Amino acid sequence: MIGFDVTGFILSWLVFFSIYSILSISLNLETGLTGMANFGKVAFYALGAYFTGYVSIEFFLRLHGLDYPIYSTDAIVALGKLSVEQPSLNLSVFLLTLVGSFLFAGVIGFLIMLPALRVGPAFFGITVLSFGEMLRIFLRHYKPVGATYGLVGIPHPLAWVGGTFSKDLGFALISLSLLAITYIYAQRITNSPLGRLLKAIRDDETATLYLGKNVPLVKGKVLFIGSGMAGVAGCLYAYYLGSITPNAFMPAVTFEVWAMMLLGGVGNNRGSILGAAIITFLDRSTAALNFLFPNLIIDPNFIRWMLVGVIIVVVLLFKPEGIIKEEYVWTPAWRLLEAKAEARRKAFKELIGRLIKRR
Amino acid sequence: MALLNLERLHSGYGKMEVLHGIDLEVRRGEIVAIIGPNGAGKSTVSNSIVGMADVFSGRITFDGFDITGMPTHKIVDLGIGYTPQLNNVFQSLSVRENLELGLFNLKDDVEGRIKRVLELFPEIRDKAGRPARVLSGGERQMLAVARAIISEPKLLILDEPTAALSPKAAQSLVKKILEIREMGLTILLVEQNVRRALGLADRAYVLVGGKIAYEGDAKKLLGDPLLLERLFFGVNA
Amino acid sequence: MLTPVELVNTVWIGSVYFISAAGLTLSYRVTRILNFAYTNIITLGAYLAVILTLNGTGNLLVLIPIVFVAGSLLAMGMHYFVFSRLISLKATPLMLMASSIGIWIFLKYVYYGIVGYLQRAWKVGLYQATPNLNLDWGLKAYGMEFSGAFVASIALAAAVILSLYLFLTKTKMGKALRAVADNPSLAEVSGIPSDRVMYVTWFIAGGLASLSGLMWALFSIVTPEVGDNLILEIFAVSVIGGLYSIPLTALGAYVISGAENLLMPILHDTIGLEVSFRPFIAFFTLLVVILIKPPLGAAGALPYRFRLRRKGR
Repeated sequence: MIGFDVTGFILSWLVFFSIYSILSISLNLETGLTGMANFGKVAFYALGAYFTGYVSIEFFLRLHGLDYPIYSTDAIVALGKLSVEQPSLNLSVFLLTLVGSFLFAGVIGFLIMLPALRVGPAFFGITVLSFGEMLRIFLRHYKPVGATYGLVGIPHPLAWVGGTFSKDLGFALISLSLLAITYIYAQRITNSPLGRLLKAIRDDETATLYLGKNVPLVKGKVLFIGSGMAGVAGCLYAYYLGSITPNAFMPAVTFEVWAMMLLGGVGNNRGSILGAAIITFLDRSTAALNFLFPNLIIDPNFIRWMLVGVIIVVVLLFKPEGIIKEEYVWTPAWRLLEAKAEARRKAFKELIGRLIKRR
Repeated sequence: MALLNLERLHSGYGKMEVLHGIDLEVRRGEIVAIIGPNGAGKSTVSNSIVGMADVFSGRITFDGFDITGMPTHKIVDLGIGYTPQLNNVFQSLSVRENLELGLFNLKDDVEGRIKRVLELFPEIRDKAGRPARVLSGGERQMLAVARAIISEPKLLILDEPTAALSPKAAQSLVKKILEIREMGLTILLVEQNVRRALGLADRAYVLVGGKIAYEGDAKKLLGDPLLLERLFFGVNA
Repeated sequence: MLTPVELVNTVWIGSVYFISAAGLTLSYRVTRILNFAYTNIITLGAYLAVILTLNGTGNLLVLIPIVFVAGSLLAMGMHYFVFSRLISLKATPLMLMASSIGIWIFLKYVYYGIVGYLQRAWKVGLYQATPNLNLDWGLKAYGMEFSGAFVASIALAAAVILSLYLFLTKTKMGKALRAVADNPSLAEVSGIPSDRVMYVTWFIAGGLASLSGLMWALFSIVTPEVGDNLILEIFAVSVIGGLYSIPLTALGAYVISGAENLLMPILHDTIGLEVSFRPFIAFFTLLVVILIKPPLGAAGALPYRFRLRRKGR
C-alpha cells in the first residue's frame, strides 16, 4: 500500500460524494417526485461545467489583458500564475460561476420543457438522452471551447491557499455545504404543497391536469430547479479537476446517477444521498484499484460501469423501493393541523380523565 | 352438477377487496343474470372467473376443473367465451382476423366455423375484410359476441353487452343472445338494465355491495317491483 | 456535388435503419417496453460477423442464421431474466425503461471487456474491425458497378421485410402479435397466451436488430459502440413511423438516411457545416416530429395534443 494517500482518498471521495449527491437529489426531484424520466442529466451537468470553465478562464485572461486562445499552452501557464495572486478575484469568480451555472443550466432545462409538454415519459427520456449526446458531440467539435481537448487550467477558487491538504479540505467543505443547501432546499420542496402536487403529477398526470393545475408550467419549474442543481454540480466538478473534456460527460454518467437514486430509494432525498455515498465510494475504490494494480485483465473502469448496470437491474428486481422507502408529504399546514389535532386529543383525554375522577 | 361454481369467493384488485364471499352457480343450458347497482362488483365477478382479478380466497370450478388462479388464456381454453364491456374488438385488425383470433387454439375446421358464425351474424358478413374500427357500435358488439362464441364454448360470459347501444341495436342483440341460447350455450349475463336482463334470464342474482342480496327465479323477481326496489335501494318495505 | 456513391449510401444505410427500426417498433408495440438495450443486440450482430470471419473468409449465407439466432437469444434472455419478472411485479413503464438502461450499460462494458480481452489474446485489432466475407455478387447496371456487399445488404433487407410482412398478415402467430399490440387484455381473454407472444416478439425483434448490425458491418467499420451510435437515428426513424406503422417507418428510414447522405454534403458545401455534426440531422428531425406529431400509444398519450390555442378566447 505504499504511496496510497488515505486522507487524499477520503477528501476526493467527499468531493465526489457531494457532487453526485447534488446530482441524484436533482434527479430525484425530476424523476422520483415528478415522474419525468430524465435520461439526459449529464447534459446539464456538462453545461454547468463548461459554463464554469469557459467563464472563469475568460475572466482571468481578459481581465489581465491577455488574449491567448483558451486552450493554448501560454494560456495554461498564465492561468497557473494568475490564479494564486488575488484571492478575492478567485472567490468572486467562483461565486459568479456558481450562480451563473445554476441559471444557465436551469434556463436550458426549462426550454427542454417544450417537447416534455407534448410527449409522455418514454419520449421525453429519448429526447433528453439524445440532447445530452448532441451536446457532447457539439462540444467535441466546437473549437472555442477546446473541442476534443476540452478546457484546461480552470483556476481553482482556493488556488491561493498554500498546501494541497488545506486546499482540498477547503474545497471539500465548500462542496459539502453546497450539498447541505441543496438537501435542505429539496427537502423543503418535497414537504410543501408543491411537492404534493409533483407527486400527483407523477401518479396521474391527466387527473392533475383536470384538477386545474398548470402541469406543463410546474414541470418546467421542476426542470429549471433540477437542471440548475446539476449545473452547480458541474461547476464543482470543473473546479475540482481543473480540466474538463467532452468525454467526461458520457451518457453512462446519467445512469450512474440513476443507479444512485434507485439504490437509495425513489422519491426520497435522504435515499438519494445514501445511494450517492455508496456508489461514489465504489467508484473511488475502483479508481484506487486502478492505481494500486495497474495491470488488471479488464479495465477497472469497465467493471465500475458494469456494476452500475447490475445495480440498476438488481435493485429494480429485488428491492424496487430502494434502501429507504418513500415517505409521506409533510407540508407545514399538515404539521400545523396535526399539532392542533394532537392538542385536541390531549384536551379530550384530560376531560375524560376529569370526568372519571369526578365519579 | 353445475357448469360453473363460485364458492365463498373473495376477490378484488391489488389490495382492495370488492367481492366479500360470493356463492354463485350456473347450471348447464340456462341464462343467469347478475344485476345490481353501480359499483356492486358485477364486472368483478366476470373478471374473477376469467382470471383478470385477484382472488384472495374461495374457489372457482368450471366443468369439474378448479380454475382458481389459472392464467387467463388457459381458463378460456377450457371453454369459456368472454366479451368484455369495453374495448372488446381488435380495432386495427379486420373483422375476419378478429374472428380467426377467437379460434387461436383450435386448428380444425377454421373456415367452417367462420362461415357458420358469419351466417348467424349477417350484419358483419359483408364487412369481413374491413378493419373493426370502422364498424358501428352495434356491429362492434355483434363482432365481440361472434368472436367469443366462434370457438363454441360451453359458457358465454357477456359483460353489459347492451350498455352503450341504441334501443334498436340492443333489441337485435337480445334476439341474437336468444338464438345463441338455442344453440345450447350456457350464458352468464352481467347487466345494468334490470328489465332487459330479467326478461332474458332464467335465474338471477342481485349483487349489492359485493354480496349476494337475492338469488332466485328471474321472472319472479321481474314480477315483484317492490322486492327489486328494496334490494336496490335498501328500502325496508 | 452529389455523386452516385451518395445515392447508393442513402439506400444502403436507409435499409439498415429500416430493419432495426422495424424491430424496435414491433417490440415496442407488442411488449410496451422501450428497450434501450436494443442497441446492444445491433452491436452483437456486427461483432459476431467480425469474430466469426476472423480466420479466413466466411460465407454470408451461413452467417445470417447464426447472427439472427444469436440476437434473438439475447433479446429473449433480456425478457426472461429482467422484463418478464418486472412485469409480474407490476413495474411501471418508467421502471421497465430504467431496467433496460441498466442492461444497456452493463452489456456495453461487457462488450468492451470481451473485445479488449480478445484483442490481447488473439493479437488482432478488434476495436475497429470489418468482417471478412466472401461476397462475389457485384452487379453492373445503369453504367454503374455495385459492390457485392451492397447487393447482399439490399437483398437481405428486402427478404427480411417481405418475410416480416407475410408473417404478420398471413400466419396465426403474426395475427396474434398484432392482436396483443392492439389490445393486450382482450387478446388474453381470447385465449392468446401473451407470454408466448412476448417471446416470439423478442425472437423476431432481436433477430432483426442483429441482422441490421450485420448489414452495418458490411457497410462500415465495427466498434463496441456501433449500436449506440445508431440509437438516435433508429429512434428518430421509429418516431417518424409513430412507433406504429411499418410503412411509415420505411419512409422515415430513407428520409433520415437521405438527409444524412445527400443533404449533409450540400450543407457542407454551401454553409460550411462540419461533417462531424451529422447526428444533429436525426436529432432535429426527432425534435420536430415530436413537436409536430407526437407518437401515439402509452408513451405519448397526453391530452395536450388536442389543445389548440384560438384567438379571442
